[in-house]
Amino acid sequence: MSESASHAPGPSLPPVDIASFSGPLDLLLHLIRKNEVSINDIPIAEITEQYTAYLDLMRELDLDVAAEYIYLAAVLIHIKSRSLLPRDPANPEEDPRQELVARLLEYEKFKRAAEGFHEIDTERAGLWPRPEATPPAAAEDAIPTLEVSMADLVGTFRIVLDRYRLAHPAAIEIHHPRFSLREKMLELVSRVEAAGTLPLLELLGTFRYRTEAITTFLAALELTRIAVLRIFQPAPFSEIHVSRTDRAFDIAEIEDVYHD
Amino acid sequence: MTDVRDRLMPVLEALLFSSGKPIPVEAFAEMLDADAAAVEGALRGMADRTNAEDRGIRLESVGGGWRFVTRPEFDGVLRKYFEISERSRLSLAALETLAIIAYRQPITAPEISELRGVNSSAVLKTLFDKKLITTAGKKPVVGTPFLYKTTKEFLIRFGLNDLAELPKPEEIDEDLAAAAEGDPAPLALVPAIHVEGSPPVPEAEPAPGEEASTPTRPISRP
Repeated sequence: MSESASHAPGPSLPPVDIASFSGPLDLLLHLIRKNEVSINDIPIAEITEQYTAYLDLMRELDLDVAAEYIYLAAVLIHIKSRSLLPRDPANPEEDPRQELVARLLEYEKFKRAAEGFHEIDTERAGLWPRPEATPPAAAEDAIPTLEVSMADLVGTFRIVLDRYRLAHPAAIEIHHPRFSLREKMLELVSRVEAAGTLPLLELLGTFRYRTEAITTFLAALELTRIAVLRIFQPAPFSEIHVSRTDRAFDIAEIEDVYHD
Repeated sequence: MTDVRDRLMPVLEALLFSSGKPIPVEAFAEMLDADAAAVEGALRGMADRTNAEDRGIRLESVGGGWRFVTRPEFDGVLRKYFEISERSRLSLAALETLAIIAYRQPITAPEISELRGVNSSAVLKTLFDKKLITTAGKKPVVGTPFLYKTTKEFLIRFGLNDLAELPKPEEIDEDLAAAAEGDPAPLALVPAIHVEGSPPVPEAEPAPGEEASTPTRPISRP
């Protein structure tokens, strides 16, 4: 594209500091200035050609061509294609470049302000303020006060968190839940008393921990042994049920046997 | 009046000498149990005297307060003494973003990116880390993005007392108009890979530090 006939002979692209642009609008503005054309009347075909040539150049130099640059190239090509179409005679004022021009003018304002900032910053970088003085005779027990901003606080908190995280690497915690036989016996009796008949296997399946199911199963066996519960099966291969016998159940009686 | 002034000057000088931060007039007035106008007068008198004399320091009014700073011509000597060869500078992108925030605050990151035509989140982080900007709540729109504003550090760095001292947008417009007529050479903050015409030469010298500042060389058109 750079060998375009309109630019031959000799180099067709103005020399440019390729990597120095702060964005696609900056590059576009630069090309407009270099070509000594007005923002309000951009020769869109020529500028588009140069713009895309620079993107190619950036790629060849292995510079990262950000998506925003490619997007602006698409915008330029779109405008170019629209300007090739005959204008609507009813609306001759409509210029496909209008929106881009407005954006460029707005951007240029801030770019100019930034240049002003740069001048001031360069000049003022040479002014050295006094370093913050530490009061020489501050009492030992006096709590020094410092002025901190929200950003300081957040930053410090983040450091603290990072430090904590480093010192306390995430570990897999293994819980050993313990279940007492006595508790399970009481629980089972009250459940059976409430339900009348309880499907045992179904109940055991609802526990989250294997140990809990085992303890409950043991409790059922134990309660059957002391004849508080009755275990039965209504039909062969069907669910095993538990129900209450007539025998009174008082945990106080057997407390010594089934302690926690 | 002059008496009060002469009495205030030494104690003001002592306070200013001991502080690295600009001290507001009201703080002086409260500490010294003096009239704010008298303090202001004394400070102005001291500034005039300090700045007129052949001194290495000057008294400046900045960030809503007063402080001593060294004169710019001694920057080189001071850097030599403190062994600072190059100081970190703001990139063109950072300055642009800062200018947009300064004039349009409070403003959200997407609005800044829209104006610049490029994603600005990395630059915002730099400015935030340098404490030149801070958040100013969230905008009640979809996604509730953060609003950003400039800080007191920004005012101090750029020698302003408040935002009203920023150059007016009209002044920038005039400046623009003048620039369009005169020399349109853009300010190059970053020396980078120079490429002449086509075909491009890929073996470019390594780009020096992004923050350094070198003038662009004149451009000759064929």
